[in-house]
Amino acid sequence: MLFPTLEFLLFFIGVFFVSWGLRRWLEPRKLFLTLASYGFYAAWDWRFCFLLLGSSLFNWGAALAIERAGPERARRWLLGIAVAGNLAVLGFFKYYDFFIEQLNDLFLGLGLERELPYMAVILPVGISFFTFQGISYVIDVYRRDITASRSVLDILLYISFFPQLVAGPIVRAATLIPQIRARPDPDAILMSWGLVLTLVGLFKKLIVANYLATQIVDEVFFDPSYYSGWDLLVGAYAYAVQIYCDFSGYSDMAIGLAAMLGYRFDRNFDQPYRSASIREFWRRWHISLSSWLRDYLYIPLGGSRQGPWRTRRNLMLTMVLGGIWHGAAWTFVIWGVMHGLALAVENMVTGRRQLRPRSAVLRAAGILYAFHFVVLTFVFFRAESLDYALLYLESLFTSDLPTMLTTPFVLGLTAIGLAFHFVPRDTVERTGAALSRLPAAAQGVLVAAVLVAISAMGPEGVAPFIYFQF
Amino acid sequence: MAAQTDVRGHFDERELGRPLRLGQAVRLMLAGIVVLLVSGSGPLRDFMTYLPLWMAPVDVWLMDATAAWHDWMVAIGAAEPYRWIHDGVQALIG
Repeated sequence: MLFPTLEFLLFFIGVFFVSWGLRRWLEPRKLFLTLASYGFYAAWDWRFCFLLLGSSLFNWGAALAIERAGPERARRWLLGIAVAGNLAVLGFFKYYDFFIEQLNDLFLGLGLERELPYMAVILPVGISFFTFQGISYVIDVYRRDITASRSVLDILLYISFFPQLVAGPIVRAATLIPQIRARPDPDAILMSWGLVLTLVGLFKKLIVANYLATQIVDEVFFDPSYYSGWDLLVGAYAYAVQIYCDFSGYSDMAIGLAAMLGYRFDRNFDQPYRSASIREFWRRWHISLSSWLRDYLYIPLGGSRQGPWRTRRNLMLTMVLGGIWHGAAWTFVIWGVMHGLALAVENMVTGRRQLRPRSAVLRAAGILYAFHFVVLTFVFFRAESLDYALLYLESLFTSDLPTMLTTPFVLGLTAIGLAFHFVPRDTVERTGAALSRLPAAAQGVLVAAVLVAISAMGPEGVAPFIYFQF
Repeated sequence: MAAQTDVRGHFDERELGRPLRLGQAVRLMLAGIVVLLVSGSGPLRDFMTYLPLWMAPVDVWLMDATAAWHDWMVAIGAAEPYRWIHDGVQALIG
């Protein structure tokens, strides 16, 4: 069940009315939202509801055990088991066949007549997100940042809450669990802001991302050798805009839908393409993942506390693992290595200081550098394989075919996607505030009219969100 | 003042507009649903044709009802803007 569908609209309207109808009864409300979230997940594949349930129960029990264990050594062991258990599930579903393939290639290279069997494991949608939420919960309990929840329902809802279940943001337990435990306030529903965020997310996904995908990106990345250098150049820019609009659009909708149900999530994107360095880019892009990697990987590795070379090693390790988190493919490893290298080089140049160019010219140069570096790395991220990525880059400079896909429509959509980065950063908040000053019924009419217009402008059908595969 | 965000992207609650009371939120939703039922009756009719099998006992009735509703909306011109926008964008793409 995708957000931009009538099916989901009907589902959400039902959830909205029933959940607010249950506002006085906290436990039944939590139970209802949990069942609704499992129903939402079952719409993809009901069998994986058992995986979601198992993961939630495992983390609930592990956190309680960590909290109750006395000696530090026992707590550490329990944490190790909990993290390893989560990673084992993620590793099996996401990486098993990839590792078997690599091992078989290795055996072949060594001349061994032996092939390990593949299992054709189906990837459960959203597994990377809910596994990372589970890991953050047990680590936060271990660090005593939060207390373990006695209520299993709190954890079931925390892990499965449908707005963020399948593609994030990765909401921290310290952010969401206290809200789950509290009675929702029926006098302070952030409807206007939530609706504006949802509409912005729908526009990004349905209009910008979907049309860019069908009009140019899918074509040029399917076989780069058929297209001109200009098409490939515009296709690379268009993909950077597509993935931003696709993913940040999903995050906007998730944050907006949660707000309408009475829950606050943090921002997940903050105009990332206006970054003047890759370091700044990672403070603005997929903030919930980058801060997760910082708090649960980079800092435990030593962060920047053990000298410059270890800092650079830690940056590289963090980014490579961040790349592998996206999927089992060498293209994601290369993408992570490139970002790790860029961060390490920036660290060599600037040390621990953040690169903040004072002059407008230097700032513009920084933005051009960071944006083009990100576009280049996205070629590897999007390509079907390493060979295709290299073919794409080679054809970019060597193709002499006529330009076919670069149309004013494509260029216009790309410009709109980039324009999101250069409007005032609080535009959505200001629009929500302006909307909230209208009478409630007028807000409903206006929002519905915009929703109908977006639906009418969008292409037939809705492509799945890019980040569902992660 | 712009809404501030730190590394973890916290929103500043003061910048997010006036919160609604539940009664207002319900009025907003109901008004929106009416507009969607009127101007979006075409997608609703299409959706009804793809109802899952377990709804078979009622789907004939639902399909007939939404089709009749859509025809009525077309007859009074309420569903036209949806088609104009859709056709306009398709013409733009070529």
